[in-house]
Amino acid sequence: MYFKYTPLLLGLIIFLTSCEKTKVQFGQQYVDDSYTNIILVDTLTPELSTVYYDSIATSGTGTILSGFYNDNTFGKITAKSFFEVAPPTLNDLASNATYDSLVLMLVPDKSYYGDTNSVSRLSVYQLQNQMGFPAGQTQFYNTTDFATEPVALGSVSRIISPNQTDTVHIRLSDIKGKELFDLYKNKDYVMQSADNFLNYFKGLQVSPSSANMNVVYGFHDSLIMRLHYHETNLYTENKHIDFNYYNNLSTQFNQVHADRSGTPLSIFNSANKEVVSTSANNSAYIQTLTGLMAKVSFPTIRSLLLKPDYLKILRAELIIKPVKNSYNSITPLPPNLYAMSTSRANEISGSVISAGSLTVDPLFNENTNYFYDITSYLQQQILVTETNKNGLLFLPPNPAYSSRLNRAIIGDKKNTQGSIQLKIYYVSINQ
Amino acid sequence: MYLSTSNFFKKIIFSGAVFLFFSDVKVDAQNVSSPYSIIGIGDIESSYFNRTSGLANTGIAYRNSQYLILNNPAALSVLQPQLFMIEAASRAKFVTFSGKNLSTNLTGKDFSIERLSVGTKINKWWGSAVGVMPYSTSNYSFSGTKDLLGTDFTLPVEYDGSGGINRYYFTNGFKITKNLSIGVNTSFLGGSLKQQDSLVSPDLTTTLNTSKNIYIRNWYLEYGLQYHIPVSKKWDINIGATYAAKKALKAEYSALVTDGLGDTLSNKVTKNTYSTLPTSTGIGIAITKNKKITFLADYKFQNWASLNIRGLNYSLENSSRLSAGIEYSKQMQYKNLSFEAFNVQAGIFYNKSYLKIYNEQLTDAGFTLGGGINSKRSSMSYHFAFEYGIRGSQYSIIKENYSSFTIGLSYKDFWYTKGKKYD
Repeated sequence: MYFKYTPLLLGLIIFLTSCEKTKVQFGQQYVDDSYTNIILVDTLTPELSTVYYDSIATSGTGTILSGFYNDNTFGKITAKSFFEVAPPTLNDLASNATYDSLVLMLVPDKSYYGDTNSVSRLSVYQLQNQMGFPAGQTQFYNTTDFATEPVALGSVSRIISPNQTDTVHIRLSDIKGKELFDLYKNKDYVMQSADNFLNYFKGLQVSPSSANMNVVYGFHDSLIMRLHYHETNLYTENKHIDFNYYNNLSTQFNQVHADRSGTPLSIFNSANKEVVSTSANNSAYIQTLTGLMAKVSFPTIRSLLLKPDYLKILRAELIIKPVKNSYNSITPLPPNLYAMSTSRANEISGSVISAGSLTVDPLFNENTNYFYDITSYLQQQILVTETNKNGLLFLPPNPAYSSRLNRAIIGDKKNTQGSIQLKIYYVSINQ
Repeated sequence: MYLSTSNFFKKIIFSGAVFLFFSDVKVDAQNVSSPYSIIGIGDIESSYFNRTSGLANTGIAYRNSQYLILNNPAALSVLQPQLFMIEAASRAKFVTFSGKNLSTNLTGKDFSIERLSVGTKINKWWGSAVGVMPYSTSNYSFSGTKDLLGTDFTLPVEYDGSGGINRYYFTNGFKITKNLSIGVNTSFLGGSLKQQDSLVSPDLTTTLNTSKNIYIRNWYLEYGLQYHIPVSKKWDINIGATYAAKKALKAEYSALVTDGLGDTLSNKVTKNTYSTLPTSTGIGIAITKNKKITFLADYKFQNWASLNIRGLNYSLENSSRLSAGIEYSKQMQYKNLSFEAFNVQAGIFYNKSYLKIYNEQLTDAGFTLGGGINSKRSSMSYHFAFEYGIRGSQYSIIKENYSSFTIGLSYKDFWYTKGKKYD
């Protein structure tokens, strides 16, 4: 008889115990919650500095960067792009086929740095020598250079509206165009393979043709060098042959040079690779393509351990407000700035601590900020007992890192126009 | 119903195993919250989870030769000689919460094993029982806030209270004279009152758990006496009294702080102090007619006020409990032996609890209905009790309307016999 009811009893137990405890809003006043305290500290001042790198790898970013911009703060920036084109597939041409023109077609990728209302003057040069990597290298840098023929193959002078302009056509030399046409028509040896062709046509450079230009544009690397010709039969038929962008050897790169003489940033050079904010107008500067990155370090973090009954960092936030009026539509902020761990040596190979997020205050720019959760990073750094020269480097993620000139100026605690704010929430217990 | 002596030891082992199992189950099975149990040592259990549960737990003067009546330790002295018994009881409870603090009524329900006892009559004048039952329970859950120091903000916190004090008892009742019995209930009161606050703040994207524990323990003695007055052939009167002296229970406070990753940030004993139980007294009377109908009444009193415990909007006041019950027991004859076939019960109670909140001493009042049957084929007895009560009033912060069902199982056997079952 006892066992007869067992299933019933078990069913009842399951029914009655499977629910959550009822929450009744009563009792807050009887709780002594003073044992653990969560305290916000925002008085620990991080150290801010600018780190300068001699060279930044710019190979194969997918962007053809070209232009000139005179930046009052960051200097005179010149961007030139180097690349190769391949010969077209050989086909028979009609005997009456006649050369018309040779054009380089560039498609804007909508990125820019500078004044898009200014007239762009871009020139195309043929390289004197074929591009090749020095022994032991597989990349080119923003400092790499290859000599060009003294006379440009062609140039353009026009206003480019990156959001409206479909394609920029640069008319190239007809002498070179006719030469290529004949080689093609004759199915010459140089047209029979890319290797043969590159030996003859070493590559191209697109560069700003004068310092009058005030903008740097980015173009897609799906560029085409197009040779127009026509055949006349009963009526004229316009045709073309395409020399496509060729990057099988990963030789495409952008050369970016910053002439900083006369600007506050002239202090950076190979001999002066890290400058603390207090020696640079209470600021740090970010423009990775010209070698500048901001570093934030936390040398005073261990003072938290001296707080009474400190237990653990529960959360750490870093809020970076760029210096007011240092950015606008001409010199825009990087849309993304990663925080990457680095050490005293300032290597860039660290891990991403926080991808951060940019909030733009469109009205007054007062609250425009980059926000980072650096909890786990500081939880580790507080354990470092020796003088802590580790820190976080702030830089855009690839490909923007090596293909965009967006820049940021960050102020330290003493900078009235911008700031970095460190908020640490820690737990302490009351004994 | 005969049992050899060697089987007796098997039963002891069996009951020990059951005992351990059930005492473990109890801890986890409770999920009906009791908001007031955040104060003091929690809700003090007024039920004995035995045959008196249908009598509104009225039983200071009650005695029964077939059941373990622990309301008064002296009652064990009248157990049937050579009787060996195991009793278990469980309770299902349903509560509806209403009150000024609540915008809508809330409900809760749970089921728990509440008592396990093993008892026997050691000799003609000495009855004894061991077991476990709850002394008090703490069980609540609510959402609160915690100040974020250094700012004007607060952080959301979930509070959860659990645990309670169990009573592990060894009860002995002695027959001193034909009509006078005395008894002593030697208990070990032990258990933990746990309060956990969990900070799960979306702003902090991390968790912090603080688990505060009060481990309470000490021996606790309760004395009882019962006096039987055989008024006439038709009428019997029993009177009873219980007493327990003021007792300081050791209370060890500890706190464990963990974070969302499960790392222990701190784990230490924060203080060692005492939590005192005041003097408890109780008196009762039971009047039986024709060994069938029994009228009972109890009065219990604990002078909590003498401990001078008070806090924000609350204080501990003297508690008292009045209860009365009536029982009808149907006796059957079998081969010139008399035994109970079934019983039915009813009771009412009014309890002024030890809690005074916002100038209102919390009351608890209700009624009970109960009944029991003895199996004809086996040595099992079943007892059922229903209780409906209201805790608090319309003026209270929280008012609880509750109903509970208690099921008691009782297994009887004789551990030693010379061939004759009854005296």
